[in-house]
This record gives sequence, structure tokens and C-alpha cells, in this order.
Amino acid sequence: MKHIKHITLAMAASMFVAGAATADDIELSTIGLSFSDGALAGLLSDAAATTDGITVTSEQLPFGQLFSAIEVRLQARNENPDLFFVDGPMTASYTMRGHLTALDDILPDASEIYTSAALQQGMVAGKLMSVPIESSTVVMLVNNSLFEAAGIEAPTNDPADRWTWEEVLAAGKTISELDESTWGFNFHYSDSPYMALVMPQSNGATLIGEDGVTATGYVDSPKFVEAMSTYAELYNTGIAPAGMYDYSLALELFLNGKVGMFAGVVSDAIAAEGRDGLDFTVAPMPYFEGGTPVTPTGSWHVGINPRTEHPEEAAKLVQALASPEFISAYFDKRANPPVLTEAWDSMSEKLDTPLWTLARYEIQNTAMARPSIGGWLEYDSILRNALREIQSGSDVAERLSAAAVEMNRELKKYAK
Amino acid sequence: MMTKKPDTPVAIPAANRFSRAARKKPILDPQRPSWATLLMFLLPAVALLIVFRLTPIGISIGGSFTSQSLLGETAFDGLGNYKELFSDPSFWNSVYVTLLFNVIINPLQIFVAFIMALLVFAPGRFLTFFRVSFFLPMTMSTALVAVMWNLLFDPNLGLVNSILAHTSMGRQGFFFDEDQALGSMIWISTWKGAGYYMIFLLAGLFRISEELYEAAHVDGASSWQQLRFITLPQMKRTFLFVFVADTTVNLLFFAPVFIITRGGPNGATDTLMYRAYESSFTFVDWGRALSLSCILLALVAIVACAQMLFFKPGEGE
Amino acid sequence: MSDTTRPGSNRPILHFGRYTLMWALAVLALAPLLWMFLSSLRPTQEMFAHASSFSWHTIWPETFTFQNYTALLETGFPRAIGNSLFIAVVTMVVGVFVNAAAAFAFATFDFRFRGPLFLLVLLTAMMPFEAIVLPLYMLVNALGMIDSYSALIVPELANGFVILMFRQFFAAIPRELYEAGRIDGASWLRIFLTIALPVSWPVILTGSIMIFITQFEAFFWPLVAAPSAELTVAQVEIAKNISLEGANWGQLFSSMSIVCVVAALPFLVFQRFYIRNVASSGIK
Repeated sequence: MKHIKHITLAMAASMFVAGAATADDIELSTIGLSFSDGALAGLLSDAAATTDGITVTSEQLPFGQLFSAIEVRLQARNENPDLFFVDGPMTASYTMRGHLTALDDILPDASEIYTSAALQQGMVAGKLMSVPIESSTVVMLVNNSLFEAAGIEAPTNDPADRWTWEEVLAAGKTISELDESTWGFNFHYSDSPYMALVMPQSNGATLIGEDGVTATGYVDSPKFVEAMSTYAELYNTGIAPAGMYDYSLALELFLNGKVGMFAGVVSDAIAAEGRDGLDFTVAPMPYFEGGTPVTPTGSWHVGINPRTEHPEEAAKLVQALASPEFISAYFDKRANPPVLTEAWDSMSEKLDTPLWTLARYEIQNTAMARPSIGGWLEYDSILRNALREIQSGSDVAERLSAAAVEMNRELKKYAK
Repeated sequence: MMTKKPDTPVAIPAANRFSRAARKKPILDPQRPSWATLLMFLLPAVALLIVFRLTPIGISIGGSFTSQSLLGETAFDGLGNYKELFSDPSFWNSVYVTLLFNVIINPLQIFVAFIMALLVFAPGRFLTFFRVSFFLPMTMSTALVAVMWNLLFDPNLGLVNSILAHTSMGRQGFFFDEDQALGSMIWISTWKGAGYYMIFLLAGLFRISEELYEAAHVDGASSWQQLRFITLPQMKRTFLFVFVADTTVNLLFFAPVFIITRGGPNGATDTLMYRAYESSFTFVDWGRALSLSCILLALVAIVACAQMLFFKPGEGE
Repeated sequence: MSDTTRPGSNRPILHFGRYTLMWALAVLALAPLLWMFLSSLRPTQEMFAHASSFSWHTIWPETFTFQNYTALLETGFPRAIGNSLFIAVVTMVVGVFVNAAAAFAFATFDFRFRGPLFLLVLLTAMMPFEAIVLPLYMLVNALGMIDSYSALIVPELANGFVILMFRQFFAAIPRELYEAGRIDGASWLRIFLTIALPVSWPVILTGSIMIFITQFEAFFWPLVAAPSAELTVAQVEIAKNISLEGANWGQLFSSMSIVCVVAALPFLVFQRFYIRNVASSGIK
């Protein structure tokens, strides 16, 4: 009963708050990601409160349905929503399809305030189309107990001592042979180009043609194939567990102490800290001998619907989302790498750990964003299917050239 | 409140159907009501369906003959989308997968549902428990069923595989084994759906006149003969509904494919509906997505018509 | 009558076979749900701790906790369950009449274009929903219904398959049954309400369950049509436990368990009417 009363009160309170807005207030509708039980609504409302006369309604969607639900709204091509969440690499697609407004005039100092890795993903043809609010980077979580059991010295968190993939394969092999249920290595999102593309990138491969629509000659280039053969080796020789496409389960396997090296995002390390009895440290992502160190990065952005009826208010809200206060409050609800260069210093008391030091280094030095092409979603989806089949033993060169042909076909519509 | 024996139509002895009253010319023509009466019965449902279903369907059928530019301008494209589909070998793989899936799952699911209905229909003990047990999987949405079975079948952390690891079978790939993927889809779909179709079959069994069985019993008919000559013929109308509804659901099967296999491995679970979904939300090609949907609509309609002919009630049924 | 040879009779061997089969099916149906429910009583830490190799604790939790249930009270879940129930019950109650009335007309009356019209009605249930979601969204938006309970209820009231199901059963009702009423000068509405519906109650209950379950399971449409936090339905709230960063297993399993039980309630209540009255059916 007590709880029912609680809910009723909350409902009454929310009605009161909505009613409290003065008649002159402009209400902006937003679509975003659901996290920390609806934390986004409060964050956006607080940001709106710093402006004059704006209130915000926020629709918060589960990750799995975010893109399709946004797609239905955008395809309707009406004034709703005023602002919406954009996954960094989707910026070009939305831009080419006329779903985003250029923001250069709203944030003229964008190139100074944002980290370049995050900013890059919001830029299309030299224009700022979406503003970042959080970014991501990938580190290698190392299970020290497994390394100890295998009698191998674990990689350290010093980027100068970054392991090569060859070292990962060798140590991973030994760890995977400890026990039937142990594995040497795994990517958290093992079928996702977000993570796997660092392999060809580190090997010096170009991911897509200059025109953004030609995949043949790139996705099936010798360097790409060579890098992905190492990926195939990981999954086909029992070093990494093939077929774990449920990302939550893949994380669970590491958290339960079954994986020696786990390429994961920052929040994975935070989840690991919460597990008793898991002795882990963080190390930088491996690279290819003779290649360059590359780490994946991504970011969530916010963009303005060009059909909005309140462009000025939407602009003001975007400015509020670029403020250190918002970024800091957001970080408290969702501990992902902040996108403001300034925040890394002003929030240093929170970021002074080996994990964040490494994350900062990678974001500043090795982070490489995914290609900014209109057909990113198509590229991602087709490559993902190819990765899955490579995990289950398909011939790497053949499968990649088939994927390239399929990409050519689907990307054609974005040709200029 | 249900103490009185319900006055079901089936309680009327079969012989009554040919009674004098039935043969006598009706005083009023009961089959031709006034337009007002007809409208009163039909209008609410038909109007709602026209507005919220037929209109969007019409728009979507129209859309299947158009192509859309990146900026959303549509242009008439005739049969362009269809021609492109028909010349795509992976489309034909999807047709094959969809048909194979349906040829197996529909008879299987309805057979299991019918067995369940027969089992829990006759009086006995603990029937509420068994009925609710059979029905319970249906209370989970298809998406959550997919999430749950994906966890149970996981090669490393799945309960089923941790049990199988102790048997001679060893761990199985299930959704990620090209030969087992479609079978696994059939399994989870049957697990969820059988109890649902059971409730319609139960209602169908319920309306069969008890007198028919009693008469058969007097004639010394065996259980099998009663099933063959009373139950099955009397269930025709119910079966028609169950088959049409089940086939439609299964021809449009896609949520578990979307969540678990993404059409793989190697196209083994690439159903037409998954392809349509992927075309609209991943490849943002609404023309192709709509033409795929229209092909599915035609397929469902053709199969339903065939089923209606097959289950057409015969004389006196 | 002491012995009836109807399928599933009470002869010893048949009785034994029947119960063995029922138990087997019940175990198959319940085992995964039981696993889910038991998992919902585990602390997060333990969720998959015993999963890689089979032991007693792979099934039975080492530590029991209700924390996954109490934690739900702090989320939008209680409200979402309320929303889902409200939407499903209203649709069920109104929908039964709307669909039964149309089905009655199709089954009983003879009118021009009856066949084609019925085919159109069926067709409405055969188009993939994902293919009409965009025009439907624009339509409902144009009608000013977006982001309200009516956006979730009104478009779902009429259902081609529910009409088909009702029609199949109404068509089996002998016409003579209506004749007395017609002779007495009763209107068709009265006949429908006082004769057709009462004799069809098992079917009405089945149709009610059908509408209820369909609405309770709805996911994509509520996501698109009713974005406000106050209108979130249970299925959407459950999905929020699965994110790219990892699943909140405890709350995922506890909310799934609750939804399972709640969605089964109408069937639990209605199914007892499907038991033949033993005294009147002549068995035993």
C-alpha cells in the first residue's frame, strides 16, 4: 500500500511540475536512450532549467529498439521530435536523409571544447551536425588469477608496453587450455564492427573507398583479410568463445572469471570492480606488429530535427548540453568518457584512477572513429553477419568479398 | 453463478436440426435484416478496421510500387521493387526458409495443441494445474521468449548446454549451428504457441454435443472411432480458425530471428519477414520492405484461402 | 454411465498414459519458466556463477533474495503493469462486443458483398504490422491521439482474427434457436445479446483471452505511439533492463516472472468454465 501511495504521489508530483510551467514556456520533445531507470529525463530537465522558458518532455527508449523507433518518427517527416539521440556513426546517414540541422552557428567554439575523437563523429562534410554528450573507449580487462595459473606475466596498463596480437594469441592459447571452461580472450561485442574493426585499422587497412560507397577493394583488401584472419584464429582455435552474441552474457563470462583478456568498454571495468573475488587490471588494446595502435571509440550525440517548430529554443537546449555542468551531471549517472576536453581536468578527482588514465590516453592518442558514411548502418549490419560466420569457420577472404559485394549494393543509394 | 448447466447450442440434440420448425418456412426472413440492423452490427468493427488497418495497408501496398529518394521524395517505380527482389537469389533463399519453417511448424504446433486440448478436456484431477502450465509460456511475449531461450541455449553459460555437457551429446550450437538453427526456432515457437492454440481447440471440443458421444457409445464405437468420426469432423470450423491464425503468425515470424540469429548462420533462419524488417530499419529501403510485406500478405492470403477450401464444412456440419 | 470411451477416459491404462503425457508436457512448458523464476531470486553476483558446469546450484540458488522484486518498486514497473492491465482489460471488454457483433452479422445474416467484405476483414490481420506502422503512426498522429491511452486501445479494438474465431463458432449455432425470438418480435440486437452470446460463452471467454493476451504482449506499437513515461507498458519497461552495457538480470527475470503471472490471470479465471459439469454430462 505504501508503495502505491508513493506512485500516486509521484504521479501527482509530475502533473504538478508539468502544470507549473508557465504558459509562455516552450515544450521541446526529445527521444533518447533509457538508462539508470529514466535518469535522462531529469538530466535534460535540469539542462533546460538553465535556459529561459524551455521545458522538456523526454521519451526514453530501450537500446534494442531505439533506432527503429526513431526511424518511424523521422520517416513521418513532421515536427516531432525537436531533438533526438544520434549514435555517432549514424550522423552522416541522418544528415544525407535530411533529418539533422547544421549546428556550427549554435556552437561556434565546438572544435575547441570537444575532444577530437567525439567531435569527429558529429561532423559531416566539414559541418557540425550533432553534438556529442558522452563517448566510449575500449580497454583490455585482464584476469590476473588466470594469468597466474598459466604462469604468464600479465600485460601492464602502460601504453608503452602495449601487447601485440601475436602476444595475445600466445598467452590466450595457454589460458584457454587451463580448463575446459576457460578462454584466453574475448571481445565484449564480438560480432560488432565497433570492436572488431580495430584489427584491420591497426593493420593499416582502409575500411571504405573515398566515395563512401565502394566496399570492394577495401573490405576484401589483403590487409583487411590478413587482420581478420587473426580474428578468425582467435575464434576458430578455441582461444575465444565463438557464438556469444548476447553481449550481457559475454560480459558475464568475464565477470565470472572465465576469460583471461576481455576487450571491453569502460563500464565493463566498473561492473568488474563490483564483483567480489575478481582480480583484474586494465591494459591497453593490442595492436599488430608493424602496424599502429588503434582503439575503438564511439559517442552518443544529440541532433536537431530540421522540421522543428522551435529552432531557437532547440538551439538553446543544445548549448546547455555543451556545458560542463551538464556533462558532469551526465557522467554521474553514466560513467563514460566525457566529451569536453575541459572536463578531463575539472573532473580530475573522479578520473584519477588507472582505468581513467588509460582511457584518457587512448582517447587522446589512439582513438579512431568509424568511417563517416551515409550507409554506416548497412555497412555495420552486413559486416556483422560476416563476422559471425567467420567466427563459425567461414573462409575469411571469401566471406569478406561476399560482404563487400553486398555492401556495394546497399550503399549505392548514397552515391552522389 | 455457473451452477446451472449452460444452455449451449450443442445441447440441442442433432436430430433437432431437421425438426419441423427448421423446415417450416420462417415467418420473417431472418437472413435479411434491415440496413440499419446490419450497420449496427457491422459498423463499429468495420469502421475501425477501415481506418486503422485497411487505410494503412492500402498506403503500404501503394508504397510498394514506389521508390524513395534519400530526402523522402517518392516516385512511382512500377514493379521495380518486385523485379529487383525476384532477381535476388537471397530472396529465394528466404522464400525457401519461410516455407520450410511453416511446413513443419504449423502441423506440429497444432498437433501438440490438439493433444493438449484432448488431455485437459475430459474431467480429471489437477486439470487447472495442467491447463495453466500449458498456457503459461504464451503469457511471455515472443521477444522475451527469444531472450530467455537464447540464454538457456547459450553455448557457454546456457543451462541446457551445461546439462548436455554431461551427456554423450555434448554441448550443441542450437541457434548458431547451421543445421540446428531453424529447428531451434521451431522449438521455441512451439513451446510458446501450443498452449495458446489449445484454448481454441478446448472451446471447440466443448461445443461438441455430448449426445453425439453417448449415441456412439451405445453403438459400441471405440475411442478411436469416436475421435475419427465425431470429434474431428465436428472440429472442422475450429481447426480452420486455428490453422489460419497459426499459419499467419508463423509466415510472419521474425522477432527471435531479429534478436538471436539475424538470419544466420549462413541464411538458415533468414525468413521473409526478417528480410522485410531489415530492409526497412537497417537498409532504410522502404520500397523494398513494402514490396516484401505485400508478397507476404499475398502468401498469407493464398494459404488461408486454401485452408478455407480444405476445411469447408460439409453437409450437415 | 460409468464408463465413457471419449478420448482421455478413465480406464486405468488410458488414465495412466494420459497423466504421464500431461506431466511430461507440463514439465517441458514449466521448466524454463521455473529456471527464470528461480534466477529472479538470486543476487546479481550469483546469476551465472554456476552456469558453466552443471551442479545443483546451476538450478537452485545458493542464496535467496527478494531484492530483485523490491527493487522493481522503485522503477517505472508498477505503473507499467497498471498501464498494461488497463489497456488490455479495456480493449478486451469493448473488443469482445465489437468483434462479436460483426462476427454475428457475418455468421447469421445474408447480405450483398458478405464474402468479399469478410475477406477484407481477414486481410487486415494478415499484413505484417511492421509494414503498416509508419502510415498508422501518421494517421493516429493526424487524429490527435498520439501519446494517449486511446492511441494504444482504439486501433486495436477490432481484430480480424477475433472476428474469424467468433464467426466460426456463431456459424455453428442452429438458426432455429433465433426463430422463437423472431416470432416474438425481438430485435436482432436482443437476439444477439440474449440468445447468441449466452449460448456462446466458452467462445466469448476464449476471445477475451485472445484480445487480452494480444494487447498485453504488444511492444512495438506502444513504443512508437505512446512515448510518455506515464504511458509506458510492461513489455517496454522489461526491455529497458537489457542494454548495450549489460543486462540487469535480476530485474529482468523478476519483471518477466510477474508479467507471466499477471498475463495468465484471465485464463486462470476463465478456464474453469471449460470443465464440463460432471453431473450433467453423464460421466461417472
